[in-house]
Amino acid sequence: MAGTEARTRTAFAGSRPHSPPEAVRALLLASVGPALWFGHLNASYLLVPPSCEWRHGWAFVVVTAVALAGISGAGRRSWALWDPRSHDGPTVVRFLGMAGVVLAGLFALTTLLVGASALVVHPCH
Amino acid sequence: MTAADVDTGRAQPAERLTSAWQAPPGLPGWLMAVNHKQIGRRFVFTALGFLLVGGLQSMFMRWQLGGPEQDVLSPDAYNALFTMHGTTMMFLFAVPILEGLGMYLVPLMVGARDLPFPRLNAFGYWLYVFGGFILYWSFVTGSVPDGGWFAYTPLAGPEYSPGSNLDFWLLGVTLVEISGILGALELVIVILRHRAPGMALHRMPLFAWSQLVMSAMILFAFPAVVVASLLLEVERKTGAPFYDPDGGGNPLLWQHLFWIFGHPEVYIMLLPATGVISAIVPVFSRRPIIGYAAIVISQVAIAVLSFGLWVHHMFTTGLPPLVLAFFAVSSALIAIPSGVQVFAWLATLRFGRPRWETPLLFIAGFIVIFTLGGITGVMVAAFPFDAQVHDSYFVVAHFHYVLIGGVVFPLFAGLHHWWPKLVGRQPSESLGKVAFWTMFVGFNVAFFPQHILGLRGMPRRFYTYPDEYGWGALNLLSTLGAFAFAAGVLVFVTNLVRTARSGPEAVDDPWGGDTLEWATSSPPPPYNFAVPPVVTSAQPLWNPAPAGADPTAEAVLARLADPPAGVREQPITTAVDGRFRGVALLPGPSYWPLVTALAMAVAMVGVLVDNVPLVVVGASGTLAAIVGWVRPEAGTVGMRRHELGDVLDGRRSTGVWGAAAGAAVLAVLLAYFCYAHLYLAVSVETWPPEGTPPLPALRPAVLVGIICLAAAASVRAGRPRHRGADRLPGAGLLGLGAGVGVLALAGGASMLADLGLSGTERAHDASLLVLHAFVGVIALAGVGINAFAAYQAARLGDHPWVSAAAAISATWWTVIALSWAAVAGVVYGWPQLLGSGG
Ligand code: HEM
Repeated sequence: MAGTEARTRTAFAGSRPHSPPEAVRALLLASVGPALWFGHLNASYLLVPPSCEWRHGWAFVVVTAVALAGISGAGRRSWALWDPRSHDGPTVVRFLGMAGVVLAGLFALTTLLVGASALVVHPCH
Repeated sequence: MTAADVDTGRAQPAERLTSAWQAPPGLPGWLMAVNHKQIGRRFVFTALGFLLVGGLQSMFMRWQLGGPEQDVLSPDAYNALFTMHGTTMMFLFAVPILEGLGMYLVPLMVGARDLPFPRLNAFGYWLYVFGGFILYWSFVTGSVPDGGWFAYTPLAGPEYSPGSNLDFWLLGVTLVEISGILGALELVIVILRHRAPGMALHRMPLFAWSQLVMSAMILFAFPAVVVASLLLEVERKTGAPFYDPDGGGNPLLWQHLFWIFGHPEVYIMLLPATGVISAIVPVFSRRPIIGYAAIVISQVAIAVLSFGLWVHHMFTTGLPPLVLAFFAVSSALIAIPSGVQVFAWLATLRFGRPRWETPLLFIAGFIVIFTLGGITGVMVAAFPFDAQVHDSYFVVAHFHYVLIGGVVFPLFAGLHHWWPKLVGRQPSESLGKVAFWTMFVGFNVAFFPQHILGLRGMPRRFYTYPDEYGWGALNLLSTLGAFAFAAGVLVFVTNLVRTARSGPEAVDDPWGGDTLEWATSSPPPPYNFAVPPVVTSAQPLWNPAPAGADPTAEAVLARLADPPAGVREQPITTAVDGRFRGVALLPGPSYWPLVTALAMAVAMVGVLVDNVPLVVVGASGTLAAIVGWVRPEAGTVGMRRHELGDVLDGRRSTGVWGAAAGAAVLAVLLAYFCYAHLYLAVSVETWPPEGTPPLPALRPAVLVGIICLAAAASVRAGRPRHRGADRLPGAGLLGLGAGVGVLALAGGASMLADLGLSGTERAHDASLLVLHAFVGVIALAGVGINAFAAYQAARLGDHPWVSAAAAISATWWTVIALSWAAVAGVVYGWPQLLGSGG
């Protein structure tokens, strides 16, 4: 087992125990848009039979508004991490920030269109 | 900017390094093989074999359809052939070959030496082989599956498919899907934990990104079809009426579960194929890809959106129009990220200096064919149009444009591109080009006319048609095109096979590639990199890292070139920013993966032929093989703690990541069981049905949950402290955890016995039993893990194996407690919340 002792003495100088929280935060923020869209789609699906019973589509408006508020909040925070005006080179945090902004935009649009279809098609049809 | 610029220390690998990583010679070595390159290559070759078999089946079908009222095939034979063709292509060819390519290439691309759990990977391969074997054994017994590749109920149920045809399908497919899940676990963990130091997420090769996204999708999607198949097999064997309305079930449950898997499945095949394109386009355009970030974001967006589209396969099942509108909107929007990728590739070609060699030709073919398939996809996403063309040849044309254009063309581009790395020899360019043009022309002649046939009303899955409908000429054209396409495939495969035997030897980097696999020899040595690389760019071969970019990592990595005898070491980095963390030890070749898979297949065959002793032999064989596999002496982890040096063990080991990923898969499985229960509850008119015994209040269920938590807590307390731990408390507390686990199991079982459920009469009761059984089985496994870990702790004391086992057991018991909380919530809490009390 030559070399073992030398190995044992090596410490991970310079390596910290966890990923920097900022990078992990950026990753979590980027996943908010997709997660809320998915929740919104399923909630809207489940709301169709009760909405027909209530003869009103207000529940769709409420869930859409809540989902859009969440998505845009996450998108704004991601924007701050991306900081497109910064002259720093690409870093993983800026990359994830940009992903957060674009995903928030795309999933806000999808959520909006799903919610809007409830205004056009009646739940009892 | 050549391979030589990246210093991988390949020039003088130490003797010990080679001998540590080399597989034993001969047949034993072949059976014991676990290295990612061997297993990845086997997946690729086996899947190519299945492509030829599935292709042959399609030739028979096209021959039959080439003219009206032909009798090449009987109606039953046609049913069997389209079922096996679809099943082979979707389950046995497309996903395994893409995963196999990933298993071979991803570790090389991210600078790793192997996948994190090499034996699990080999086990997955054998499951795939046995799953395929079971499916094809049906030809020998004369009970070939004939319910279509999506096996809809009630057709696939016991009433309308009383033979064993569908059992072959359900059991074979289940094994193959489990294999897919295991492969995905490997790929996720190698990508998140074993990238080269410096390879933060924004520097990861796009092919690796696509494999990460594919694997994450598999982990969420495949459990849905596993659950659907298990429920159907239980229904077929015991009469538990999950899908039977007469017993309070619902046949549409199958369609929901199947398409929750089935739609993402399309993207599970497409995304890695687009990863191949993103790897090839910059190399053959001789410039970095344009829109790296846009491609990554598009891949993630497509993956997520694909999980919200399953209902679009059910537009004609009578769902309310508003529900259809929700899903139609999401379906149409997936065109945006798909389009972004295509524009990024086109821009890279436009602003690069393209070399039109075989791989790039196949990519061009992809762009044309897939775009046409995408356009017809947007058409069928509009449900009024879908209602017209549903189940017609328009749909057959659409999905072949998407599948062959989107998967086969990019895959062939990738095979030609990476063949030198896979076999060490260079395929012929001229044969490659002949294959491409024959396939491209043949494909369009075969499938374009089918759009017109579909619009003229020709239904899919019909074995023939009358002359007076006037479909004969277009069908003949389609058949001729299909034969031409098949000839092109044969030329392509012949080129590969001939090259592998006698082609010119390949240089390390024949195309001037930008990613790390080209820094190794062709084929790479068993350890990939003598000194694992450090990177500072997304194109590490075009912009090599300067020496001293990460001195800490480099110091440790340099020592990995000369390991202690027989020890396989691999660097570990952080998931997001790729910082160096330490070293993992990997196990070497072993028979156990093969033996375990074989025993599992025996159990499955026992179920298939209703032979209980065979099931018992298979199940106990599986258990024994697992014990043999995981015992400390079976791996390199038999090293003592003071010998470990830079190695991360216990809670920091890769094993714990594996346990966490395994726990996530269990959680997804459970979520689908709960979904099935809740779907039945809301879709069936009287729920619970009349005559169902009342359920007890929540209190006993809470008590069982608390006992599970106690088991988790005792295991956590029993984890050996790292240095100088006393051996008895570790073993004692692990044993106590096992005892408390037995108590929880007994509590749950007695609750269940008190209920007096009748699983064969009511879907409600059957579903409750399945939910309880799920938690029961994982709790039983938890007791087993604890008992074994306690025994080893008493034997070995503060040993790395024990600390890893204890960390895994702690994760496991937390999962059991959470699973029970979910089941108790769904079964006992939910009805009380709604006030039904039943
Ligand atoms: C040589 C190329 C191919 C030809 C000529 C071909 C031909 C056919 C034919 C004739 C059918 C039956 C149509 C019907 O009666 O409904 C079919 C079905 C199907 N094909 Fe192909 N195919 C080819 C390649 C592929 C590939 C590469 C894939 C997947 C990657 C694929 C996936 C499917 C699927 C999923 C079905 C549906 C089976 C079902 O209805 O259950 N095919 N194909």
